[in-house]
Amino acid sequence: MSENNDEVGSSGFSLEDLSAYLDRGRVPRIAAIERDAECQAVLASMERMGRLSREIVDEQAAEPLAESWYDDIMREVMREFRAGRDIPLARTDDGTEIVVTEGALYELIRCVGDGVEGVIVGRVRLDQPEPDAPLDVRVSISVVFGRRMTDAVDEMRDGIRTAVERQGDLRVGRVDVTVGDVHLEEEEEA
Amino acid sequence: MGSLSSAADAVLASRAADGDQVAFGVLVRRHAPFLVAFATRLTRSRADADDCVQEALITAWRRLPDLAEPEKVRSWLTTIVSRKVTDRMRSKKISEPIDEETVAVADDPERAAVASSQMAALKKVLAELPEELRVVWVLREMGGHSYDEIASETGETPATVRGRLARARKTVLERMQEWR
Repeated sequence: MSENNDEVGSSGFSLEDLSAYLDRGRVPRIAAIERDAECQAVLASMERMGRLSREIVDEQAAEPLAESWYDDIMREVMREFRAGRDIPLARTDDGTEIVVTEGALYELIRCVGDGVEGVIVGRVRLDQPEPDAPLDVRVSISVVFGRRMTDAVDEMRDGIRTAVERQGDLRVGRVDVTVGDVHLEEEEEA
Repeated sequence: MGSLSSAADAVLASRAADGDQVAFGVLVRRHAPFLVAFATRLTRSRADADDCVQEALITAWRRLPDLAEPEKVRSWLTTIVSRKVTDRMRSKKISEPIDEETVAVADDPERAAVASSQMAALKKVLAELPEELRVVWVLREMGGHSYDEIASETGETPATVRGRLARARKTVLERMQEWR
């Protein structure tokens, strides 16, 4: 398979064999390579050069990027709002329907999370089986280390119901809150 | 933005997929410096790296709803960046490298001298590698991509990737001999 006939020492292995072996994490173990001094030296050098090249990236990545660099991207991102489907919110007597976008409800639910101690809202999913049916909500949250999860979940569930039902005639059905992550207090992160 | 900066990647990526621009901004700040450094080694030009990463991040914003595993957002972003770079290389839009090494003078030259001259030597060796070898080296050693991933990013077969990586390593080891 390897056309590379530059055998390492007299090991019977080519440099390409060693290179691929290294990238397989040296698994499964090939005793003939692990016992050969020259192969070991080559593998060690390859590893060292790999490590050194990651240090090159780390070194450059330690330099902060200019604020204007971020502004260019965020300007574009802010322009592209994802609204999602329309969900009927209320109907006036003259038959006019008021709708709310899924995107706006996601935002509302994230804000509920901001008001609950130690909670960060992740993914939100809404399901309304038919037009006037109650809205089912599924939300995944991250809870700060040390906070009782069941308390956080209860507060979220009540908060979501209240916040959504305050908006209009829309009723909330099931609210499933999943704790998908735990995070540390902000100070813990550099 | 408050507590968002303590949130895990998966949480931020999920929020961003749901349209939260602020969460996306936090993700961008967390990963952009790495992505630019990675792209700089791929393109050999900081200016091209900036362009590719900015384009890639805007593409990522649009495609986030399709990201199946939000906890892997960093490696997903790295893949989008490398696709942008390889596309550009294919269409020859990458400028000829000017030696614009972003040299930050080390705080402690004495202590940093040995390590950084070794690093400088490797930078030079990598920059001089033929493009096809440099790309597989950077994707593998700096990006941590598998042979299969590199193959799909470069439009080659995994066997070709394996051969090129071996050639890249051989060249690097030879040229870095005095540092080994």
